[in-house]
Amino acid sequence: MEKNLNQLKEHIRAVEETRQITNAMYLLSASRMKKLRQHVDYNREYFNRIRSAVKDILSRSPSLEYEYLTQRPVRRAAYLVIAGDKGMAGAYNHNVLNLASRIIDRQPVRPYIATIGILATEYFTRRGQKPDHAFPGMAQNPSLGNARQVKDTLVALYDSGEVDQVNLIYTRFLNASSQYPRQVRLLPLSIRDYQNVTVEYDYDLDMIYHPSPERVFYELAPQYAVGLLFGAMAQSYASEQSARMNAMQNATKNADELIAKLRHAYHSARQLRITQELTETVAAGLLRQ
Amino acid sequence: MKTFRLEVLTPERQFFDGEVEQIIVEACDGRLAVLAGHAPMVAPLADGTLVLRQSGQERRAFHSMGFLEVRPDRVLVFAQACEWPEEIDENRARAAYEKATEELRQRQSILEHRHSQLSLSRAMARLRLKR
Repeated sequence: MEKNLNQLKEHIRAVEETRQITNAMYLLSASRMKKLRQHVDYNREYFNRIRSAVKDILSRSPSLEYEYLTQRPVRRAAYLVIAGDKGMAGAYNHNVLNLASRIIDRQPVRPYIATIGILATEYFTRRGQKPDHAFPGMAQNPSLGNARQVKDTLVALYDSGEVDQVNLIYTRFLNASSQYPRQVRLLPLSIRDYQNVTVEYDYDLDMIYHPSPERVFYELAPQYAVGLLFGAMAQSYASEQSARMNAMQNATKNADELIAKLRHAYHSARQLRITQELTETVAAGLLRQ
Repeated sequence: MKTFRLEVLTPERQFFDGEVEQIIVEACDGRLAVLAGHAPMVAPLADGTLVLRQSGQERRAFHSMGFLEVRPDRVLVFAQACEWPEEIDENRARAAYEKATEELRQRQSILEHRHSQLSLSRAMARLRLKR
């Protein structure tokens, strides 16, 4: 009986410690999430404006030549897979890596694999597809500088002719309860694909492009690529934080329930022991009389 | 003087939102000023100084690459970074300046060379505001 009580006490203490950790992780993710939300929103607007300007120029100057717009026959493709640096984020890593391996296994030629996030690197290494390039320390820090660095590496790879297409596999962040993994093409630029993007303003007809439409296009196209990458990195990070937030909230709730149950068990065991001791004392007293 | 609404956005924050009389930015081919009533226009920006005039007073800030868009209802500046003079870390900018100058002196690949040039132009634009 004594042993049972101590065991219960020990169990309660352990669960309480775990609960503290899950709760701290929950709060951390929640605060990161809050900071990130604005990031994602401002970036989306920035990026949308670049896209509609670039698209508008293209639709008016169909003869515009740009090396990153022409499709080459695809002999080998490259995939940049974005996942997290650590787990405990529900199904976040699992979902995006699952999609990535399904897409990559479908390729006739083994594609070039680049990764962001330790878990992505480990995942492909374990499957015997060691990534050709890993960008360390970027999963936790989706900044423009990092996005620019990734873009330069991928563009150099594309320029070298080693690959004829560059794709991103990341997690799209819609809102706190809805994120899903998806694939988009980075190179060649898929601006012409966005035929369904509605032009926000009808005054675009007499827009002045300064100094010239071509020059504006050449200046903005690289920014478009950086924006696309930054968006993918920021949205993946937002999805990870939000998934971790949910997972940790559930874990904390479960811990609370478990602690309540264990406390109940502990108290009934304690009461039982007191009752028993009383009974024994009274019985002994009765016997002595 | 006639005013117009100016919004300056970076991917990280809304840098400025308010009525101004004039703004001057560093376009990719030189300084460019916009007054109220300007026709719709899109112009890419280099690194440079953003000057905005508000009720006769001039305020200056650093802006990095991005673009300017004149809409009928307002003027939008999208830049990858924007900083008021007091937000600029002078030591960091000076260090970046020296690093980039040193790098440009050495033999580099075309990509590295372009990088150093860009980081030099950013550092110089920041330092200009500190003087």
